[in-house]
Formats: sequence, C-alpha cells, structure tokens
Amino acid sequence: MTYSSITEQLQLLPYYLGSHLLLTLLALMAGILICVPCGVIITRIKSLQWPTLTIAGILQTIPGIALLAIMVPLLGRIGFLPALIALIIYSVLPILRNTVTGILGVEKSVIEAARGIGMTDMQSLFKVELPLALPVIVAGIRTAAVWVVGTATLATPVGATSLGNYVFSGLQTQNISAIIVGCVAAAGLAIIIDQTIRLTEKTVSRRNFRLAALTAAIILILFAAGLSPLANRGNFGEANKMVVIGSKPFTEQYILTQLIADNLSGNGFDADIRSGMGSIILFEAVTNNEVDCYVDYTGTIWTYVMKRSDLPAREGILKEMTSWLKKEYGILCVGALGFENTYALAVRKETANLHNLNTINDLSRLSAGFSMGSDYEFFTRPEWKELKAAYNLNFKDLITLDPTLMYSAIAQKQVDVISAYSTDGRIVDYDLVVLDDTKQALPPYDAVLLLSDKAAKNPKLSRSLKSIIGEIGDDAMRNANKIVDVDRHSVDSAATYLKNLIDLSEE
Amino acid sequence: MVSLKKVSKSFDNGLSFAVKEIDLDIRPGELLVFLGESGCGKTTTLKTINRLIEPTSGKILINGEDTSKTDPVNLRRSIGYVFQEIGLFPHINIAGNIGMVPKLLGWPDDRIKSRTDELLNLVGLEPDKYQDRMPHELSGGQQQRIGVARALAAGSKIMLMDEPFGALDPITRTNLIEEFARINKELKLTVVMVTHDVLEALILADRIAIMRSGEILALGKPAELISRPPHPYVSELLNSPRRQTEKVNRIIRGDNKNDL
Repeated sequence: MTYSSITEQLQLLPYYLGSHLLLTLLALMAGILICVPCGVIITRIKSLQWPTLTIAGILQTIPGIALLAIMVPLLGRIGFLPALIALIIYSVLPILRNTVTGILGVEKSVIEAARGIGMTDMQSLFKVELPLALPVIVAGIRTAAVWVVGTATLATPVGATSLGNYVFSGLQTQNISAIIVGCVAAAGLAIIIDQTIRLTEKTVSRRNFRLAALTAAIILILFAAGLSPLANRGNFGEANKMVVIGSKPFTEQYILTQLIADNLSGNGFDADIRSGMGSIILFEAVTNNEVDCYVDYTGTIWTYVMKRSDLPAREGILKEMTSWLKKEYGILCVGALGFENTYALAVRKETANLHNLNTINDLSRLSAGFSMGSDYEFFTRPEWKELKAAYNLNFKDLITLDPTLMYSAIAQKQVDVISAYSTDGRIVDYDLVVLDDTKQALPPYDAVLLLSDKAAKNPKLSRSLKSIIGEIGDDAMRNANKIVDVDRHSVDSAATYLKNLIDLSEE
Repeated sequence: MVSLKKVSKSFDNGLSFAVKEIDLDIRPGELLVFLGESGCGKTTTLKTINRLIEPTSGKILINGEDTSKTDPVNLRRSIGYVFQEIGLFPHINIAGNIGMVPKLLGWPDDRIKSRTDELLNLVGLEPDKYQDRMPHELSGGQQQRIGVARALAAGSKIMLMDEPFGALDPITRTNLIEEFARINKELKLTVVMVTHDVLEALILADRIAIMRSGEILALGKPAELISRPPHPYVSELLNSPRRQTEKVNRIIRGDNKNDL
C-alpha cells in the first residue's frame, strides 16, 4: 500500500460515495415514511402489533446479501432499484419497533390528561405522543441509518454502484488500499448521517430556527452530493453514448472491464462500470439491456445458459453460441478475445511428483484421500457434474473458498486439489501443476465480448470494440493477471499493459 | 347544573358494576365531594361526567343538555379537569400547558397570553418568572397550581378534580387546599371532587357524597353527616380524623405509647 495507490483509489471516491449516499438516503427516507405511520397505526390497533413486529423481525434475520440477491429475480432486474428496496426492508425493524416502543412508553397519565382536557385522538398523537416518543423513534432511525450504510456496501454484486465496489474489487485483486478507502468512507458516511439525524432531532424538539436552517442545509448538501456524480455521468441528452460495462467478481474481469472502458472513452463514449456481479445476474442484466457489454466464456454460456452437455469442437461451440445468442436474446457476440480461461484442476508440484500425476484420470484412484477447494460457483455448475462422472472423482472433502484464498489454501496444504483458472498468474507463482483433461470433459472457455440487443444497434460501439478482438492471447492475459495478483500492481496498470500490447500489434 | 340520572358502569359486560344507578343533582356554585375508599367507584363516576368513561346505562345532563348527544371533545374542552398525577405535558413550557385548551379552541395568541398571565397570578406564580419554565423545573405543589390554572384556562364554570392534592406532601397540600378554597370562592365554580381524604372533604365540601361499592351511601352537608350519620360506616369514616387527632394529643401529653 503506497500513497499513490491510495490517491488512485480516491479518484473513484466521488462516484462511489455519491451513489452510496443516494442509495442510503432514499432507503432511509422511504423507511421513515413507511415505518413511522405503520408504527403509529399498530399502536392504535393492538391486534396488529405482534404479527407486524414478528414479520419485521424475521425480515431482519435474512442476511443482507441474501436479501439483496433475492430482489433481483423478484424484480427481474439489477441495479439501483432492487438494492433500494432491499435496503428499505432492512430499515423497517428498528424504525417500526422504536416507533411502537416510543409511543407505548409515553406516560399514561399524560395521555389521559390530553384526552381529559379535550384533545382529539390526532391532537393527542401529534401534540403529545409523537413529540414525547421522538427521542426513541430517532434512536431507531439512527440504528437503521448505520445498518443501511453498512448493508449498502453489499449492493455491488447486484449491480448497484456503492462503496462496496472498493471492498469487492479490493478483496479480489488483493488491493488493500481499495479496501481501506472503502471501509473508511463507509464508516465516515455512517457517522455523518447519524450526526445529521441527531441534529434534526434537536432542531425539531427545540424549535430552533437557526438550527433548522443549518440542518436543512446539511441535508440538501448530502442530497446534492448523492446526485452530482450521477448528473455528471448521466449525460441525459446523449443517453445513447453511455455504455454500461459489467464484470464478474475476479481479477481478469476487472482488468478487461477497465480495458474496455478505456477503449470506449477513447472513442467518445462514457463508460459506467458495474463490477463484481454474479454470472447469472450479469447474463440476465444483458438480456434486459441493463448492462450493455461484458466478457463471458463460451463454456459458461454453453453449459450454464444453453444447458448443453454435448461437446463439439472449439470453433463449433463459438459459432453455435453466437447464432443462438443472437436468435434468443438479440445479443451480439463481437468476437473471441483470443485467450481461453478454462477451469483447470491443479495440484502442488510435490503432490504431482509423489503420486506421478499428469492427467485428471490419474487423480481418480487417489481422490478419496484428497480434499478439493474451489470458488463460489464451480461445485454447483453442470461442468463439475460432468467432470466428476467422467473421471469418477470422489473427493473426501469439497471446500468452497474465495478465489483469492483458494491459492493460499493449496499452498498451505489445507486442500490438495483446486479448480484453478488457466489464465491465472498464480499457477506459476504457487508452483502448481495443471492436470490434463484428456477426456475433454470440460468445454472450451474462450473469452468472448458480448453486447446487449440495444448496444448491438449502435454500429460505432461494436466498431470501437473490434480493435481488441483476437488480440489478447493466453500469455498476455496470464501476464496481465499476474501484474495484479502476484506483483500487486493496480488493475489500471494491467489494463494499460494489455492496451500497449494491442497498440503494438496494430502498428 | 350537573345531573346524574341512574348512571351505571360495568367493565365486564354486566357481570359486575363499578357504579350502580347513581342519581345525583349537583347545584350551581356548589363543591361536591365524592368520598370513599379506593375501588368504591368514585373516580369512575367522576369520569362519566366528561365522558372519559362512557356509562353503561343512565344519562348525564349538564344545564339540562344530555351529554351523550354532544361531541365528547367539545364537552371535555368546556369542563375543567384536574388530575391526581397532574399530567402536565412535559415537553411544553408552563405558558403552553396553561394555554393548551384556549389554543385548541382557536383563541388568538394575544388573548391566550393575557389569559395565561391572569391565571398564573391567580394561582400565585409570577408570570414573568414561570411562563417559560418547563414542568420538571417546578415543585410538585407548583405543578398542581399549573394543573388548576390549565383546567380554568378556557373559563369553564364546571371543574372536575380527581384527588387533586393526593400526590403532594402534607404542608404543600394544606397550603394548596386553602388556596383552592379562595380561588373557588372568587370564581364561583361548580366543582366535583374525588378524594379519600376525610379532612380534605370536610374542609372543602359544600356537600359530601359518601360512596361504597359503587353506590352513594349518604349525601349531605359535612356537619349534618357528622351529627346525624345515616349509617354506621358514615360515622366511622367521618370520625376517623377526630380519632387520629385524639391519638396525637395523647402522644403530645406524653402518655405511654403502648396504651394507645
């Protein structure tokens, strides 16, 4: 971590922070507008109290990331809206519970006095009960605010930009500076929002107009801050020039996304990167035109999306996939980038030497004594089933790990086999041996550049992107990955490395 | 002025009655005290007058008008109410507490202000010193003075008082009782007061209604009830302060405590 790597990260701050702020503020405001009236109603209708608070309590126990993930299929879309709704749901419990507790906690004698001197129910509520319950309600809102700021960092995998972009990409690319900037910014934001709410409460309870002006100014500034990066990037007049690039959550994808973004800005487009999305969410986003452009792999589309289990030759798969995508979804496959990133079973060199392992077939007789580590997806993918059946693999243990940690796990002998990525620079760095897939149980994984139906209708866009098609070979990609994963340089510098290679070959 | 006609109240759908067929006429300018032990139904009866509790049967007339046919909110605004727990609004300053009912009635600000000042003077608290204070900054006795001022604010001639001096220490209590007697004389209010304190009842009441098990056991002027008690319970209850005084006198004379 160096000073320059921090400044590099800070350049992204206005956009990430602004998006995070907007998401948080809107979720919180909606939460307040929904939950305070609901809370008031259920203090009046006692029979609703138990069911409402129980349901709110159950919603709260759903892990934040699961709640966010479930919103995507429910709403059939990615990005801001599912994240916003998940966060609103997350804010419900503390606000609702504290509203109810606060109002029920008002001294009975005071409420009786309000009735006794001739206040209507509404007057008693607004003049007596709510003002007296205010500190408790505000405490609930402050709790919700801190939770929402924190949970909003998990909105990144569903395609909403937030400070989580720092954390997710930082984790994948082992960029400590990014993680630190993300965490500090999120913590800072939580403190600022919390204190603003406290100030608002003071203003309301003291009826101090100077304080009110100050609070209103702060809230306006916060909103403006949330909206400004969007306004800058929105280019509302020229919406067709804005290109949304999606990426899956691993280093290679971060590098390629950056390369594509650089290419597009060089050609007069505005690029918006949605990084760290899951395979299926990303594919769906492209079919919905919510993401314009991303890099996928032929084998993934073949088995996962087309649900095919036959395996024609490499070129055949590419050709058939291209026409299928066009026909089914209007998605344009601009072309193959030139490298293949296949799943590759890898073992430590000493294990390979000791047991004389060369192919996956050699592994079948030993698998019962080995444990295997893999990423979040592999064990649930159809390819794994095929592979297992083809080679009769029965590992003693299957462990799901973050891709980054998979390599240290095998180096530290916590697992014996991993499903490495063939373009990964760490295979060499960790001295691993890749076992040959002699039976060709795994499909080819040629990296292909895909454009959504909408984006495909812009000829200038596909023309600009043509320049990187077929230009990135296996070695080039592995080196680029190594720059980030092994040499610990930034994603930007790896993207620049690839760009220079492409420029050289063009000359 | 206030008439209760066969007023009954049951809280359990008629299984038992907290108040049983009370018939009572309260005269204009009179201070009537409901006296009895806890649970005798005196507070329930009081609260039916301004419909804080709706009677199960019977009706209540105020100036000849059936209260069940009026809007309960307007009814309560037209009747002063002083609570045992005082019940000042803790988040509103003294002037705001006193001026609450006039404000609900839509009085203009300057009229509310002059009324508030007038009432603070009436209850013996300087307006300039007290109007901006918050309730918790006042002593218990001062708070109940504000409670009385709040009940008087809209100029109502009828006042309901639910054990108004019950939460106060003895000295404050004595002072406040005297002060209230003065205010009442000055304003010629019609007051219905609930208490379990016999001495308080004897000092303040024009007439006492002694209640037991939801019924009025005896009704009359204090002196009549003491000299010609219609029921042994009445004599026992009303003579309890005298018996206590005699005990105190014996202690003062130095008699052996064990003989008491």
